[in-house]
Amino acid sequence: MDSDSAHRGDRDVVPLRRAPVVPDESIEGEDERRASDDRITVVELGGREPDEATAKSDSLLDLGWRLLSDIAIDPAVRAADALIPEAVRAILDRVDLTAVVVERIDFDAVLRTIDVDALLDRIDPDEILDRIDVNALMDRVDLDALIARLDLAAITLEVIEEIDLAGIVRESAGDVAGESVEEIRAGTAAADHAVARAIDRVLRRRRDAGGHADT
Amino acid sequence: MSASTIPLRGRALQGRPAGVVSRLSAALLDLAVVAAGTAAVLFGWSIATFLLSRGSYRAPHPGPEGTFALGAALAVLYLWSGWSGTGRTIGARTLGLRVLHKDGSKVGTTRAFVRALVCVAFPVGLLWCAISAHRRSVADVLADTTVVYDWRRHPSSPKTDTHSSPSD
Repeated sequence: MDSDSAHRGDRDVVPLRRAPVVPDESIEGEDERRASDDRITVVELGGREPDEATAKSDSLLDLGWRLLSDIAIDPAVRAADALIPEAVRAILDRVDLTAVVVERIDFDAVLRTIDVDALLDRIDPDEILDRIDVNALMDRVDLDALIARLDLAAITLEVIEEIDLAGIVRESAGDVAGESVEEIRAGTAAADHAVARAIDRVLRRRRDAGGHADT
Repeated sequence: MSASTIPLRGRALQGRPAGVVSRLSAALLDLAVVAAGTAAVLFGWSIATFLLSRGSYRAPHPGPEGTFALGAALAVLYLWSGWSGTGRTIGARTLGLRVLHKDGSKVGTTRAFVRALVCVAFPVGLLWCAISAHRRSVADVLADTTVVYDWRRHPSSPKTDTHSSPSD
């Protein structure tokens, strides 16, 4: 019976007041004391004010709760604290969690829900670069090992082939030679003309507009 | 050198009979080529004699006449091969000249050989082109050929306007 039923139920029933339970120190042993406590439920009948009865009832409940906590709940929690991690560890040891995730999760669907553009908009590359110590990074790079892994000869040949160095040299040399030859040709042609005019004068010969001399 | 790449100052000359200075310059270059060829042949001859000799080796001494005869023979071969092929020797190519038949066609093998013989036998005949109204040398007259300016590297057609006259 509780106080609520006393207020709510039959008006003729006098409210009960639970007497405070006082542990009996004369009883030795924890178990015997608990058993004694369970039996000790002294009920004093009415004649007291309702507030006083309620306060006493609450005190009794608090004491009961503390006893219950000390006796049952705390050991149970401690046991659970010890057992649950072990149990979880044992379960995880027996389950291939990666396989389960891969099998159960549709990563494409997950990725489709991600707005990559919005994500990238939130990233400031300059800020990231400011946080990178490039010199420290370079100190960690073994350039010699890196260069040793490169086939520099092949790369050089490929570059030369791409830019056609031989062709450029050939073309440049050809241009220079071509210009020189052109100068020589023009010079000798001019000399031809000068000699022809001189001989024409000596021979009193005239030429037409096409350069043909009279015979 | 294609026609389009010929410099402006040289375009008017193309196909016209070449003058004595250009032809003499080309002839001198050809002479140098023949001289170098003669020296190379003599050197090769010496090497071959040395390799083939057993015991005693004597360097060949063809003498001035022999050397001249060898040079003349090489010159005929050189000029003949050049004129019967592209119509130009190394000297002619450098100076931008080409030997053509009088009608502007390519020089034939026989005509090129005759011209080569005349040029080697009577080289002074080249100077006649300075006096000739149509710039033709003695070899041109005898072989019915003409020498024109042709600065193109690869002529599209051997037929060109030679501006030459059958006379001379």
